Amino acid sequence: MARTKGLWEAVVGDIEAANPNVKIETVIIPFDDFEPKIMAGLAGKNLGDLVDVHPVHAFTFAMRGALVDLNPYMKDLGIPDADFTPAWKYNFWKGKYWAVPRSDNPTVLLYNKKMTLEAGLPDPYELYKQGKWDLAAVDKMMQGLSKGEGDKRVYGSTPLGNNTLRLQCVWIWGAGGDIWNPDETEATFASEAALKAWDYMASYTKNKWAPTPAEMNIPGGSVALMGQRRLVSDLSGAQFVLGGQAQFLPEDVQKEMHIVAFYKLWNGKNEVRNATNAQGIYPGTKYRDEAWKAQAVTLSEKTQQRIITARWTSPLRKSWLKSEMWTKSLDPNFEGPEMWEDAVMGVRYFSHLPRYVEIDRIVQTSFQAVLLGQKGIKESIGDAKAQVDKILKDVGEEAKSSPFLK
Amino acid sequence: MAVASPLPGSVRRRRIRWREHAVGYAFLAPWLVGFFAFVAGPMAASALLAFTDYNVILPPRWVGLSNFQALAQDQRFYLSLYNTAYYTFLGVPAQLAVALALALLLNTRVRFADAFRSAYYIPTVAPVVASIYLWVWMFNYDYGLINALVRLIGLAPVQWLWDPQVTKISIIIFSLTRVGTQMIIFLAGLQGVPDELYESAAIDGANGWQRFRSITVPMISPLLFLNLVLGIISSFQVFTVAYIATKGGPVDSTLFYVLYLYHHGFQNFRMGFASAMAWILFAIIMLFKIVQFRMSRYWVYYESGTSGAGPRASR
Repeated sequence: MARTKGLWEAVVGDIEAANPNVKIETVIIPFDDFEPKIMAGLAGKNLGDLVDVHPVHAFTFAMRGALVDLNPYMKDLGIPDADFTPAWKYNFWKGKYWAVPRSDNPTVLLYNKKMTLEAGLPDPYELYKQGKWDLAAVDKMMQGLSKGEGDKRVYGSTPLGNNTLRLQCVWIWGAGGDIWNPDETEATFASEAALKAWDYMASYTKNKWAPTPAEMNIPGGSVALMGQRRLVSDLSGAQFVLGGQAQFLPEDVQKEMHIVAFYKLWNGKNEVRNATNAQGIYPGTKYRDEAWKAQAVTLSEKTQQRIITARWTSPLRKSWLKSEMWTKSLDPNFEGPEMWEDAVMGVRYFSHLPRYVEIDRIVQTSFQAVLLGQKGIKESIGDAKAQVDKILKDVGEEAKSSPFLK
Repeated sequence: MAVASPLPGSVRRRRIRWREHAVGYAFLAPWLVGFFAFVAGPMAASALLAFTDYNVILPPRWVGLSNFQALAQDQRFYLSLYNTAYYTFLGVPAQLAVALALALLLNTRVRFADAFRSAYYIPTVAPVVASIYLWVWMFNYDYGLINALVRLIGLAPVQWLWDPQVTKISIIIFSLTRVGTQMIIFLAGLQGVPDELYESAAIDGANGWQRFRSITVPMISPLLFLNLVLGIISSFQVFTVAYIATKGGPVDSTLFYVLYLYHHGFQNFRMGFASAMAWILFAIIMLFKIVQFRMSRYWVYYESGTSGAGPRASR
């Protein structure tokens, strides 16, 4: 399994070697402190030159002038547009790139193969290879795996969508719905098709195939439960599976794990979302060009090979999906190149509109009312839509008058 | 040879006083600098920001009373006030009762009293985040220790952090494990109650409850008042436990006021709105303090009788 120790130091070494006049000073921010630190940096107009941007904030920052428009630089990369994997679009909004990914992070399903087989169920990876990895198969798997009471309880899955719209979108897409209308002025996550997806997601908690969101809120989250064999599967980003999550499992549990591409939904497609680790350039920097050069090195074949070998990313270029650099990095006991290709190429764009965090909280509060049986899906998600539409109206007005989006 | 004529006494005294003041302020300077830079300055800034639309990235824009008007129409603002009031009015009396009960127990002459005192105080000095995570595990529906005990006595397990009817109670239960400071304050007070009072009451035939009600409570009433004041202030600011354990959910049942303020300030980038909320909270706490101090005349007993106390508790 993956080990990423020393990876980022080596990437910094690549950047400094390619640009002898550049000295990189890295500021490590614990994930939980990320938001307040970025806020403090923005307020103090001191945010470093290159900034890690999570998609939930990228467009908010872009609209308010806290990120440089990268369009003028993109051609310097020498990568044909057709070679970008779909993940690149996650930082593209209003016709501009606001950040570029340094790793690709499509979602795949991490599952305990041994527990699945012991329950007399077929291996999802075999089903996938036979083209039978679909909703019916996964429901059967959840039914067969979720059992026991009290401290013997085993859950088949984490709550679907992990309590955030940017993961729940997968099921909504699969049911034929969408999150926003095409010009992003209205929420569409309360459409008839989307309600079918919400209903399905809620069924996991109601059927006790998944713990409640509250029970997932423990140190280590799904990793802690998987490590104790209390949880069989979790839909995870590639980074977590490859470079993070899987390696934190106890050694013996690691050996029982496997991954498979996401299953086919109602529309017959394997819908995938992707929240890349991306970097943007802070407009206040004195070293804008140098910052871009650092980006270019990170995206170069040599450095990407380093990141791939350390198992922190799947390929960021379509042409690498069949390259030896990628296929040789895979562990045949754990994964296969064809499922990765499906995962990487199945990625669909989800627009994290400005004020996304606020929007997501509204939606999740409404969905919790559904999970608790306090309200019906139509009423509750409809309430959320009404509130979100008001925010989208404000966002639309702010975007229209923003000089940074012109 | 010129001889310096001695300064008049008043001038000399003024100089000495001035020098004493200067030395005093020099010693105070580190605190004063910190106070103005990190407390008074930000407070003044937030008072101004409350009347602006400020998203941290762009300069603040004056919007007058808009933030306050928006708050007046915000259902979640009222819900957060309700949740906070629920936590305060149920939690603070419970905390005081537990702290006092522990202090009374630890004030008895038992072996290893010091060890017990330390044991009860340890949860208070343990890092709060670690304690919260421990309790999140203990409250876990399937695997938690508390539900294991509940099942053991034949009751149905409870969704401590998922059932909106119970979540605030769970947070209050957690808060009861961190009453060490109040307990120590009470203990100090209890140890200052003269034994003669109890002895003479015993001679007069007073039972334990009468001694507690008529001697202990009046004698430690200033400390009860202190703990009540501090408890209410900190309860109105409850944040960390909800931020970590429940994130304000489910269905906003633990959306406390400061957590809601934090959402607006540090996650939604609405600093003007958050500042307005902060000042409303300040006003609410001030109001409570005024009422509490006024009411204290009627139930707080000061032995010296010099602290503006009203009617004395009967002895």
